[in-house]
Amino acid sequence: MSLSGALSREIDPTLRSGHSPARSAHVSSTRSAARALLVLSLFLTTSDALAAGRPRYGGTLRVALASPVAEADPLSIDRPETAALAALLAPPLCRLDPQRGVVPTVAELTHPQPNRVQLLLRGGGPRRASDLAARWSTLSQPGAFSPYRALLAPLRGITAAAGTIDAALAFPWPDLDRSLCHPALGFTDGGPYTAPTPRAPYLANLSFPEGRPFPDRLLLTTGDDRRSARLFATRQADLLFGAAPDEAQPPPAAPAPALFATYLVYRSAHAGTELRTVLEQSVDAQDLVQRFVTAPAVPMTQLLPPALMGGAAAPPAAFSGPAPRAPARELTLLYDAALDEHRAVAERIQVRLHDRGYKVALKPVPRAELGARWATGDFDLLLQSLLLPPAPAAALAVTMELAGRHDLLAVELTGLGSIADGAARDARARERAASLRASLPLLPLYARAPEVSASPTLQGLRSDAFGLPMLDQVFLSQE
Amino acid sequence: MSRARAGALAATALLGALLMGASGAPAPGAAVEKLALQVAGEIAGRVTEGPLAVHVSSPSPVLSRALATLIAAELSRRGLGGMVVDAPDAVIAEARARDQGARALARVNAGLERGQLVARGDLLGTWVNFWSGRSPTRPPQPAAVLEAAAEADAHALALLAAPVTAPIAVGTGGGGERPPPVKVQIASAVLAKLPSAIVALAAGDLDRDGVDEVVAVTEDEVVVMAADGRVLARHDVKGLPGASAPVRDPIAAATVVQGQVAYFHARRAKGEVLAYGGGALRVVRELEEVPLARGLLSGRWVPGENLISVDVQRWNAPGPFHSLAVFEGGRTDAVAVLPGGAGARVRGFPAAGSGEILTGIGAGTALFDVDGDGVPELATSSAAYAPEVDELRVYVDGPWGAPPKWQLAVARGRVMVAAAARLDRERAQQLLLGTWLADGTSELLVIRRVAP
Repeated sequence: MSLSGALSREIDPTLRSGHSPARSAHVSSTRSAARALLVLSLFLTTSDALAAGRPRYGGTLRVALASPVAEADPLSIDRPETAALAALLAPPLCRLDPQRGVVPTVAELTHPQPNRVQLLLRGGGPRRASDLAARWSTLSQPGAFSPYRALLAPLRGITAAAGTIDAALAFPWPDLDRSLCHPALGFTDGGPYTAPTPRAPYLANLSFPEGRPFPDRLLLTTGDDRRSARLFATRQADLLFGAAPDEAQPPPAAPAPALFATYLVYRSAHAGTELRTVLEQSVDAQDLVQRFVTAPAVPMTQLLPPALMGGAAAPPAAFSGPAPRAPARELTLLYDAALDEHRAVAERIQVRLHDRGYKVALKPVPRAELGARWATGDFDLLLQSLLLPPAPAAALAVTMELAGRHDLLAVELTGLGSIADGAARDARARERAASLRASLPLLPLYARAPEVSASPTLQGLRSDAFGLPMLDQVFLSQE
Repeated sequence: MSRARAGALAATALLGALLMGASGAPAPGAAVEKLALQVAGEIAGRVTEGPLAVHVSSPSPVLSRALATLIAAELSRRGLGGMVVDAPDAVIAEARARDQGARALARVNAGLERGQLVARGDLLGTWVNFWSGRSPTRPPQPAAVLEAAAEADAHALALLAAPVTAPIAVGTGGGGERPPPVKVQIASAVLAKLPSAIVALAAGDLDRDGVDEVVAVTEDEVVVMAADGRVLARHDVKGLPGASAPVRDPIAAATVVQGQVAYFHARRAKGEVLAYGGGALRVVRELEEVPLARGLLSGRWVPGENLISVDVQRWNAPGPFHSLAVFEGGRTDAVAVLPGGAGARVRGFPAAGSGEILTGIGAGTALFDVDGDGVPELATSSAAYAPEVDELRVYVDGPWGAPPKWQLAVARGRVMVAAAARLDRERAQQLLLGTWLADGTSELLVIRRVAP
């Protein structure tokens, strides 16, 4: 006798996949139709596989990734798929479960006093706490190359001793625990898997504090969309990341938040004060999502993604009136050279601005250089993607940091942190996001969710509150 | 509608008498008391003059009397002079209420409906107009429909189960012909809610009073509860050193050996034997091996995994298993839950070897004698991982492959552990289920016979 169980979450049903013109030539009409039907990115089929209600240990988890492998450095995550994979080697401090909230994994968060936070690290060597504290201290510095430094803005005096990290809170910040589960603030090694060499299979880490993952090893195969989808279709892969499968899949049972947000950041001093109006009038986020973003994504009309702004958020006021006179200005748009998606979006923005009299030069740069140019303000325009925390106030902080308005954090966050009630705080953060949208030097473009398909033999796949699939929870059933 | 849900509902409809689910964590008796207050409130809202008679019928005379007493008491408290009418049915109750001088009569029928303790009935005037002559006409007022419901609790189930008036079939145990089967109705209720996942369950008579106590091992502690769900003692397990290889899937083994609790959490390096007394648990000794089957066997955790292996010299087990349940009657039976939904049932454990291979069984598997005939039924949860609706199936003893005798759709959560218990002095046993909820908490359910 077999019973079936459908385990499925989580993608916003409003998400749509699009096609880049560059890639559409490689996609058959059948596949295009299938992809048009695809409204999910994380999906699990109904399965008759039996598990006795408990996960099974053993086997090799085969993952086909339609993208280059990301660096394990949590600060360098560039796509939700690679972020999920990076977390297998470089674990976040805790897991933010959609239903259970903060679940300790490698650290337990406590508040010995209302204005202090303490992290009790599980496992690891004696230097693990001091290494993490040093990393946080570096990230907190003004010259840090990451907007994620805003997540540490409420902390003061970070110290480490004997497997413990202590910090004081500069102001009340009820969203701190959830923020500290962000992958960017986690470790750079010691995850549920280890990678002996860059191309070798990941091996289960028997000493991982939460317990070893269920499969013995993970075999990662990278390639383009077609090759990855073919591996999945021929059952040579249990998971397909970053590409749609050849065959249409049923819609998901539960939506996942799309929190991987992409912004166009500009420097008014370089680009001119009239640029804001031009961007608002010429860059169409809906158009980008439908035609140039190849994964499930949702256009952003507000400063924060729809998953954070809620249904009550009104669209921004349209910038009406006559178009500004063409200034005949020359600008450079920087984007991450490793991301095809950013290249396609940058090309579209180039075309749109050209129509308004701007000559935009596109310049792909390595990620490290992009971060350095952003941190020093040495750019006209740049594209940046961020994984926003699933708390509107914390997400607003990261967005303000990305806009280069670190000076706003103390004022805005102090007011938001003083609201103890979670719903009221979220509502206030949404109000502030709506107010700040027009004044921050960035344009929200779209928010992405992971594009993941799983074979029926894979079980236990769920997303965390960031919308990232928790790959360390999956197991292979006997089939 | 999913296959699982449709199947569960269909099974429930077929069985008809299966009443399932309960929620909330009421104190003992809370459901009956809540229901009585509601019914009394409805009556009081429609009647201004006493005395008022109350007649309650239900599948259980004990429950009927308890509910009638509470309703009448509440009516008296409100100054309406409540009185209880004892009558074999509602029609006779009207005449008796009139004879006793009641101005009105509330006729209530109570029972379990989908986890709710429900009362329905009517309110009628019993005063007869002198000018009606010999015709017992009813007055126009009061006249009302009564309806109230409260979430069932373990105490309500116990009241329902108490009045066993029909004979229970008793197995001969010797292989001869069995008495004809008796129709048995079973139901479930929440015995307790715990803040973390229940990873092992056991039951045994820890205080030698003839009734089992319930032992639940959670992530952090061992909790001993009385048959009504009251917590009797707690013991913190975090004092034990952690296992050298942590286990991701939370699991433990627990059993009662000669009135003492023996448990071994897979995330700990050692187990313990605990003695209960004076409202506390005392450590008797530490364990190096996993205690199983009321002390008949022991094993070891497979490092880092949710499996127990045993020495083949002790038992020719079919392989490392998740859990092992035993039933000690005329002969000792055991059932082991293996990975992948497989299992093994041994009649004459452990000498009979690896036993009969089972398929499609779940983590919540136990042997329990639901009808008191001395022969254990096999209860098992869904074999699927995280099914949309978990389902308990109960099989009578016999070759594997026959359809289940009963099926119960579990209201919420996944059944991950199970154990047999004797929570009263009846011959029949009860079944304990530990369900994991999505929010990380768990519920302890008790399944018991409620009729005949």
